[in-house]
Amino acid sequence: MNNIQKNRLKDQLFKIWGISCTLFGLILLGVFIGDILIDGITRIDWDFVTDLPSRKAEKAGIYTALMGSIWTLLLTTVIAFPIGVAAGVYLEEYGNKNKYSAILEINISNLAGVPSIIYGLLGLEVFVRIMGLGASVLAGSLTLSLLILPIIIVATREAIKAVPKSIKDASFALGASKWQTIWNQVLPASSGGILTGVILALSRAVGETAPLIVVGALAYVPFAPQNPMDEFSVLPIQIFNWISRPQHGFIENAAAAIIILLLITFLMNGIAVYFRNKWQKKLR
Amino acid sequence: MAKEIEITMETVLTDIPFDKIVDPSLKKKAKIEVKDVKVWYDDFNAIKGIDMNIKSNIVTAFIGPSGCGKSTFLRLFNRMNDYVEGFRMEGKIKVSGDNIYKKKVNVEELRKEIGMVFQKPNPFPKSIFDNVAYGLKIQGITDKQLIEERVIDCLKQVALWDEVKDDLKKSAMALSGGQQQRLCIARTLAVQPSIILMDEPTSALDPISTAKVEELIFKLKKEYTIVIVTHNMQQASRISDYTAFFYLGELIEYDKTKTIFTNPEKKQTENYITGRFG
Repeated sequence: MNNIQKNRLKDQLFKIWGISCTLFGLILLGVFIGDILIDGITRIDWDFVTDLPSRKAEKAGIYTALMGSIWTLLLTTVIAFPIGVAAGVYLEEYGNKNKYSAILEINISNLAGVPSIIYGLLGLEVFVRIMGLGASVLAGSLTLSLLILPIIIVATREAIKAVPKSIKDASFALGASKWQTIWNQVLPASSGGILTGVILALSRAVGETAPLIVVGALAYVPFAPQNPMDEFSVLPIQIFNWISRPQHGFIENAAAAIIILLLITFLMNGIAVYFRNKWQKKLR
Repeated sequence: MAKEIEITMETVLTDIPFDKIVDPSLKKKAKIEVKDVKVWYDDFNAIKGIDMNIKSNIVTAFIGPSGCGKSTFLRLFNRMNDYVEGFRMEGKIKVSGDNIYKKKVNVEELRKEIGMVFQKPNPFPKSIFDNVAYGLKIQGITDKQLIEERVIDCLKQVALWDEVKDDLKKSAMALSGGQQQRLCIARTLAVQPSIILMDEPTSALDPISTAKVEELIFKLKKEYTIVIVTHNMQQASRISDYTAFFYLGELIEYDKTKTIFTNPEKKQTENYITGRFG
């Protein structure tokens, strides 16, 4: 074998190795989803979505958990979105670039890496006990907001950084103030990126279990929450609860609930991708 | 041209009472006086002490090799260097008699008086109409009729109206480079400045678009004081009345364009315009 042939062979080998690596995660996910679908798809019907929890597997539904998840999602959005975006805008546009801001930045990135259960403990102490919110949807949402704030802040900053400086220059040169420039040019031009980040962060929040268990979300709640101070459950906790039961019927229920949770996450990620594409087209 | 302006100004004046609309000839003759200006970026001395008087209602061209400080110097006049990290300045720049680097100066107001056109066309990712209307909207003007008339008037002034009159709602990003640059000039005119700064406005354009922009500059100098940075010697000689040659942060020579190009005083100037360096 001469040198050229050797190099070609190496090329081919790496290609195969690369394809296998790429497919590794996807195939595992595919197998998992297939398995879940086989277990759970027959269990999904409208009753399953609207039924309250029950001790009998065939009668149990995800209504309270689903409503709890939706409540948590909405409240978390309302709390985390304005705070995160405002903090991101401040750090990128107003914050001085000095030693302290560098420390601040590193620590915000660090926060994104803190295990979620730690946030749960923080939420338990601050929101549930000190602020006296109890094991409510509000306490859970505040905890999840803390969890996803760093993600939103980082995403906001990245989106703002991607806005061409020439656009800002043009705005300033026409006599616009800093705030006018941010509001009229920077935010609209970066809104796609910001929304993408926010939605991805929320789709992470909707799957979180550990911090909510610590805060006190319950496995069994007889009613869907009616206001932010009500106790609540969420889909992942419901799934966790069902899986830990011995009866086979509950395993089917868990699989069905997983399918619905996955659908919600995929849907949210899909919306995020849509916004990202739309935004990229607009700036070009 | 003069006729066209007369008509538009008349219609604007009779239709809408607005204190900013004045006859161009009555506008303050906006000249720029520069006194011993020095600029640093951190430790780098970008401008090493320049004195200069720029006359009103003519075109002044800044020429010189890359990195000679001419763009930095131009950006002093509307304080666009303020955002650059490590920027420091000494000296005085007076526009119509007022020192624009005084502490009390409202930078936003200053920039309404001194517009700027950039090297690369930089329209906002918005509609053609919104691009021109932006400067008015940020001033808090809500009179739709006034905005519309001003937009149309400015698009006509830059000879873009016939090309875009049916597409005002379309994104400005879809225009060609030359059209985008003329749109950027229209956007600048909309806030009715008295001085327009142009930082190599045609360097990213093809020859035909360049010719159109040059023609426009020629028309505009009747009403505006124009300062233009250019790398193109022919351009400077075609459109400017006065030319300033910069080298290594210093003003080497400043005179009537004709004199600079036919009978320069300094050897450096002659070497540069004849293409021996730079």
